[in-house]
Amino acid sequence: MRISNILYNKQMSFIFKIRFILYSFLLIIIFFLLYKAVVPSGKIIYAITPCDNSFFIQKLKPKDRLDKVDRKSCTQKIIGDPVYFDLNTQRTFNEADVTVTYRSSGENNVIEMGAQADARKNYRLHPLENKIIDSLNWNKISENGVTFLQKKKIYDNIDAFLNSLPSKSEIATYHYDLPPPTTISNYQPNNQPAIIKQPLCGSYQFYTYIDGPTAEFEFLFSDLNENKDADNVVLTLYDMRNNPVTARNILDERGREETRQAQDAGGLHVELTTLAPGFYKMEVATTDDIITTQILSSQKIISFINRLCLAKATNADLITLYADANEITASTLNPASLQKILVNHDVLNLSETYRQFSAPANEVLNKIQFAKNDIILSGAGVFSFSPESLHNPNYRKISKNQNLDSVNYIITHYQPQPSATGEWQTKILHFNLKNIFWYEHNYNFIFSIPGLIAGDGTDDYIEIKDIKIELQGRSLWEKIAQIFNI
Amino acid sequence: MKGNIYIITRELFYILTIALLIFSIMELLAPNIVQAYISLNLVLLLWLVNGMVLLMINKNKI
Repeated sequence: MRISNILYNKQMSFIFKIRFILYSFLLIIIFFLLYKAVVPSGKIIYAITPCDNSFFIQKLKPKDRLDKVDRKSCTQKIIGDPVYFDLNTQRTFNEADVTVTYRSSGENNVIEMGAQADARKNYRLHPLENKIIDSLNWNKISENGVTFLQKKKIYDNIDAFLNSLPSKSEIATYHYDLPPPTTISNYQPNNQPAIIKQPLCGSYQFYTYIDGPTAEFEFLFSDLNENKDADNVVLTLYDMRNNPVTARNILDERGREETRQAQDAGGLHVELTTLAPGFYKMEVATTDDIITTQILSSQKIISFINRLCLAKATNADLITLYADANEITASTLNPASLQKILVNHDVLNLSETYRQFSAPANEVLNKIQFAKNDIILSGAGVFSFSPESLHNPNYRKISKNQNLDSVNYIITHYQPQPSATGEWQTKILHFNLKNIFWYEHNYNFIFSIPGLIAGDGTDDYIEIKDIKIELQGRSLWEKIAQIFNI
Repeated sequence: MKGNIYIITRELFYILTIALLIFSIMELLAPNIVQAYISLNLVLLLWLVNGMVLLMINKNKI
C-alpha cells in the first residue's frame, strides 16, 4: 500500500470520528428539545425564585405594583393589586399544582391566586389566605374539603345544613357555589316597563327575574368611534347554571373607526316567550366604544353584577344608585368627573383620575348618590337604578371588608388556618387547566390581594419567596392511544 | 496537527450550519421550542466566529 493511501485512510478515519461525535451531540440536543416540548410522561415541574430568569415561569408584572427583587434573600414584595405572571409551555396540560411560598404584612384580609379562564380576562381564583374566616371562633365542621362555620351550633353536619337552609341573609359563602333560590316568593311584576336612560359604557351583565309568559328587553346603542377595532355587540341570556339560552348580535359594519364622531349603532330587541320562571343573567359583551344609551324592559329586576360603567351624558341630574355590595369602589379616567360621592351617609372622595377609591357600605340596601357621570362603580354585589330593581339571587360572598354581624353561617372550600402574619407560609393550590385559557403557549396567573394599593402610603405587602408549578397532562402513549382508538 | 485543527474547524462549521438550519425550522414550526433552552443568537454567533476562523486557516494554508 502506498504511503499516500495510508495517510488518506487515516484522515478519513479521523473525519469520521469527528463527524460521529458532532452529529451524535446534535442528535442528543434535538431529542432533548423534543422531549422537553412533548413531555412524553405528561408530568413536568417548573420552579423559580424572584432572582431567577426562567423562560417557563416568567417574571411578575407589572413593575409598578412590585418592589425591587431583594437579591440577598431572593424575594420580591407585591405592593399593588393585581399582579400577574405567565407560565410558558409548549403543550397543554390538564392539571397544575401551584406551590407558593409567601408571607404577608398582615394588613390584607384576602389573598387569592387564580388563572385566566377566557379571552375576556376572567380569572378562576383560589384562596391562599382569608383572615376574616381564619379569625372566626365559630363552631367548625369540615367534611370532604368543605368547611362549614356556624355562629351557634345548630346543625350537626353539612348535609343537615344543605337540606334545610336558613334564611339567605344569614348565609355567606366563600369559594363555594351554593345553588341560589330559584324563585322569589310574593313577586309582584311591573305594570309599567322599566326604562334606564343613564348611558352605560362597554360590557356589563345584569340579573333579571322572569316569572310571566313573556319578557321583553330593548337595548339602544351608540358607537363613539374612538378606538380602531370593530365594535361588535353580543347579547347573551344565560340561565343560573350559566347555560346560554339565547343570543343576539350586532356586527360593526359602520366603519368610521377612530374618527371620534359618535354614531347610532342600532338596537337589539329580545322577546322571550317560553322561558321557565326564575333568575337569568343578561350579558352585553362589547368594546369600550359602545355606549348603551337606553335599556327598556318589561321586567322589574335589573341588577347589574359587580361593575357598572356610567358613560358621559349631558344634562345629567343627581344620579342615585342602589347596591348590596359591602364596599363600593369608584374610579374615573375623566378629570371633569372628580367629585364627592355619597355612599349612605359616608363621603367617598373621588379625588384622582386612574385610581380606585373605596368606601364601606354596610346597609342591606346601600344608596349611592353623585352629580357627575363618566365614572366606574364596582363592588362584590349588584347595582341598580331603583330599589325595587335590586335583587341579588346569589348568596353573600365574603369580601375583604365583610361585615359578618348578620351572618350566622359560612360555607367554604377554604380550609381555615391559624394566623401566621409575617411568617413564611407554603400553600399548594390545585388548578384544573382544562378550563383555563392557553394563548400563545402561555397560561396566565394572577395574585389578587383586594385593597393592596401601590403608593397609598401604607407599608402593606405580600412577599413572594418561590413558586413551583407541577403540571400533569396526557402522556405520549395516552395521546397515541387516543388517536388510534386503542 | 495543523491539518487536524483545520478538519475540526471545518466539521464544526458544517455541524453548526446544520444545527442552525434545524433549530430555525423547529422554531418556525413550534415557537420557543429551542429558544427556551438554547439562544439562537449564540448559535449564530458561534457559527460566524467559526466561519471566520475557518477562512483564516484556509488563507494561511494557501
